[in-house]
Amino acid sequence: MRGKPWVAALFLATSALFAVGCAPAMRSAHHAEEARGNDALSDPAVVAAASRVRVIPGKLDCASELLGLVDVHEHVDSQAAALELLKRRAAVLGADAVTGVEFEHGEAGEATHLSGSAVRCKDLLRGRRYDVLGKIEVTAAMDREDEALAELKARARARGANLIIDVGFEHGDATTTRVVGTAVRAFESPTPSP
Amino acid sequence: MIALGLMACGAEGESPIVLVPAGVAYPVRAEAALPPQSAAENGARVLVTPARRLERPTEVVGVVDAHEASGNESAALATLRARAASLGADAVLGVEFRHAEENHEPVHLSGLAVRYLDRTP
Repeated sequence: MRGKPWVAALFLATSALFAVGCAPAMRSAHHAEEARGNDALSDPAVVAAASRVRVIPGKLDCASELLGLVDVHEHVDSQAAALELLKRRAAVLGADAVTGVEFEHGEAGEATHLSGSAVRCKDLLRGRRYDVLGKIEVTAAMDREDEALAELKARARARGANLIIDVGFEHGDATTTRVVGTAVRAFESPTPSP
Repeated sequence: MIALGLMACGAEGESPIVLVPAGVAYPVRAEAALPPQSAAENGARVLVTPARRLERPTEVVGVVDAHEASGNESAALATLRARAASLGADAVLGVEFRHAEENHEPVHLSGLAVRYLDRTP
């Protein structure tokens, strides 16, 4: 944004959890697209799934699992096309919804920013109690969200965590991305043994 | 009085013309009976706010923006509301206003068009 700082856009997916140990790795849509080839977004199955992806400024009304971060920074033909691209990137990750959606209109000649968290309804805690091991914050360059997420996961695992809760994603300015979360160790049974 | 109901069938593809005599009840769809609302009238009910969230649940139905010539801020706001209304939105969230830095540059308004999920039908 020319002439004034980008307004920090922090959204915390407070009900979104991320499993550190056994769940599929949290990843960016770009990463998933690269893994499946460049035509993944044109796959009819992805297009159909994208039509069912809900885009929500807040959060889902169910316990949810964070699958990855999705964003649209590149130039597209229209705002509607940007929204469709965001949905398809979420669909590639298997998401039910994109939550915490933020939109920043680019200046003339700049790209539009549309971003959010790709999530699906899934209760990873299942009523279990957990120990909080600590909060983690990772900063990375813009468009390097996948690296930030991988680092978040690595730091949580190093602390002995098996879940990350309250995962949040902040587009702080035009050059950096910040990912935060709380590393926890969930007990295997709903109540811990004395 | 003989009530006449004539239907003249025109060429294929044309709508039939129905002649209805005076005094005969004619079913009219409720929405057709209402006077047509302009885009501006529809847009007037749309909430426009810089807030990125509302207390009530919402779902994004589109991204809207409006570019108008410098000095036409009110027109830009009306356009933004009308575009949101055309998408069935109840509100536009996270609205950004970009004032023209030069006289020849347009003013920009943009935001996320959302509909309320808890709205009573």
